Amino acid sequence: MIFDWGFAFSILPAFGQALVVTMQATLAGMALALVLGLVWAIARRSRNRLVAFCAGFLVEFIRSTPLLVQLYFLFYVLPLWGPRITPLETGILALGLHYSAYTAEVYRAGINGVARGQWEAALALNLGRAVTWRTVILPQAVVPILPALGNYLVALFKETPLLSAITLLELLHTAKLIGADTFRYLEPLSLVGALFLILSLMASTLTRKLEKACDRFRHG
Amino acid sequence: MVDYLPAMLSGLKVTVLLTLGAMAVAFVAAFAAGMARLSRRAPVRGLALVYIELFRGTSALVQLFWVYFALPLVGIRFDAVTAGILVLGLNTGAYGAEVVRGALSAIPREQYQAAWALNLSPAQALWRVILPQAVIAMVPPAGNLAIELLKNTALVSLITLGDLTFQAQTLRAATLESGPVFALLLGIYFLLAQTMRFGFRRLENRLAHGQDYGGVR
Amino acid sequence: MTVSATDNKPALIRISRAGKFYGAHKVIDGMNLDIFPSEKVALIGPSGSGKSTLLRLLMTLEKLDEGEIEIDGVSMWTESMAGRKVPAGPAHLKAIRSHIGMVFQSFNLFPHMTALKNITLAPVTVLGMGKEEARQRAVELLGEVGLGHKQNAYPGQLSGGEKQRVAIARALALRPRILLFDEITSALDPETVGEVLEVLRRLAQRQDITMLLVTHQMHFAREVADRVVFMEHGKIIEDAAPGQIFGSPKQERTREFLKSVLQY
Ligand SMILES: Nc1ncnc2c1ncn2[C@@H]1O[C@H](COP(=O)(O)OP(=O)(O)OP(=O)(O)O)[C@@H](O)[C@H]1O
Ligand SMILES: [Mg+2]
Repeated sequence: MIFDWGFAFSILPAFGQALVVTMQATLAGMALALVLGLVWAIARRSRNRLVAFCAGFLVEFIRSTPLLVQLYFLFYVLPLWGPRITPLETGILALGLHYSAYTAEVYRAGINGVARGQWEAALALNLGRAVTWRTVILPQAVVPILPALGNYLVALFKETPLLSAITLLELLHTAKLIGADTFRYLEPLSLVGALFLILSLMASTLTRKLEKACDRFRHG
Repeated sequence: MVDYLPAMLSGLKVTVLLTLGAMAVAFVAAFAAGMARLSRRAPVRGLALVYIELFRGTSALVQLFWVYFALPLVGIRFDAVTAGILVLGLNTGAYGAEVVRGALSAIPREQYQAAWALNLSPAQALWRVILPQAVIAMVPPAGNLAIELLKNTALVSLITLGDLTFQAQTLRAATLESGPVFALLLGIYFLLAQTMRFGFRRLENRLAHGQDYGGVR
Repeated sequence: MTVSATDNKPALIRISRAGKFYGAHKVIDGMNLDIFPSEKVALIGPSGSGKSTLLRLLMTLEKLDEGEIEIDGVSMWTESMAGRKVPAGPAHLKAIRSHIGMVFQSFNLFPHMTALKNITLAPVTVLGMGKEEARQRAVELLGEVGLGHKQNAYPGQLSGGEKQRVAIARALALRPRILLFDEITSALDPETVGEVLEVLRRLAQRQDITMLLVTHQMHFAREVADRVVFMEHGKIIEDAAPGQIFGSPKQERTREFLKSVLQY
């Protein structure tokens, strides 16, 4: 049995809806990761030692445990506490939480990259902590780390197939269902692989462009 | 819960076995592909690039499913453990190749020239001069990759391999104690990861003693 | 040793028995210094003697370990709450800082803001000044430092001397009574030093500003300062009028130091 192109084309449309779901999970998950990661990064610099320690531990814990297990935890345990959320929402939450541990590290590097003199000038101008963060530190911290954040967006996108484990009809789950129906796994699974390859290669190219643009911004 | 201890222990064994096996595969693949990327021969470079982009561009779970469910249909069959070790190892190796390539190309040109001037063969230069210096820079990112690998082993539970996550799922279905079971599972992975981090730090410290290029910097 | 206690005005800055440690290293050591309104004080001394640390203490960039600093009679690091002395809180420090501005050796302009925005940021967010008023004032200040035409330039597009003049305008925008200058010409190319010193010279004429400046340029200290403080190892060795310090210093150490720096 070899690859059947006719069959492959016939099942292609079935992936349309799945691609939409995958994109929703990716973008919403990344948005959550960007916000939460910033919270952890700022909390880690808190003057309150306990807050700083807890944020550091949380980041380390999330980073050293599997996304799949975190996904199961949220999927099976959250409903016991009350909130009724859909698999898509659970997936977004898990992806966002998991990748917030990575974006937190990226933000941290960006924040550490801002020269000490900038904090000192802000203090000498009596700017206050909130204004200093918002207008002086973060604008300078974020531009150099945009490429790194872009890489994590791609990484997060590639982890969306895990959401098939909590019944979400994304690309991989759709392929599995087609395989179970037709007893042909080769074509649907290869199609999904090819889709991921094409999209991540495109995204990586964009990220590299972004990197160049950021370099220009910093040095020119 | 005590009744389920044997099941969890056998799951732990599978997870550790998978991690170590895949680490070995990744180690070989990373060095082979990383050095091939710096080869003078274009086909060698191209082949390495295809391998790296293929595995980094697609998802580990899709790769696993493809090897386990699709490949048998063209006559290539692996048991679940082999498929797991192979896919996870090659996947991690593709990321590792970039680490190897980066570390090798960060060694100053003068070091190659100095080895050349001493009439060392290319293999000798690589083995005695370049690699010992480059390895130090590889250890910290390799540690991170190893932890990513450990986390990725949980994926094999989806091809019905009885690793930690799989056993925990079985346990949850049997006891319906979702909270405690998964909290315990997260805790075990955390401890495993911390152990690995500790090991890689030790390695890093051991390798990092007194390295200097013996020139002005 | 103190010279300027001649008039009866109370001190604007009073430093008493001040001490500052970095680890076990005492970089400010039992220092006493009074500075009076509108005085222009030059701080000189060998590298590592604690000059920058003293300015940083005054700017609250560093915390004082011993002794006391008072600004206009108000203690910097303690405040009284319900009749008791407690460590100063953020609001108290903010109030203290509102009297003080600082210009840094490395400019520390905000690179992602235009010259104008660098200057208006603090008046708008700290003093609550209206945007248009702040803008007009910033334009005025830029004119005063000779950069009226560079309003919309980013720091990356300015020369070192221009950056430092923007930094001075930025510090002036908050109308501080005390201005601290830490070697503000040492990071500059020789040809741009003059334009910055010119701005300082004009500032030195103003009666409403008290200046404390660290400098390695003795001729400049002699020209603009009305008092020169020589320090070493965190202590004040000599404190006198420029004519005296540069003409006939009383202390042997001062003489040696001046001899070594004036050689070049
Ligand atoms: N953050 C710090 N940590 C530890 N030691 C410090 C720190 N800042 C300054 N020091 C030390 O404190 C001493 C005084 O430093 P300071 O910068 O005040 O000297 P300075 O008189 O301004 O010297 P220079 O003329 O070189 O600028 C020096 O010995 C310096 O090494
Ligand atoms: Mg100094």
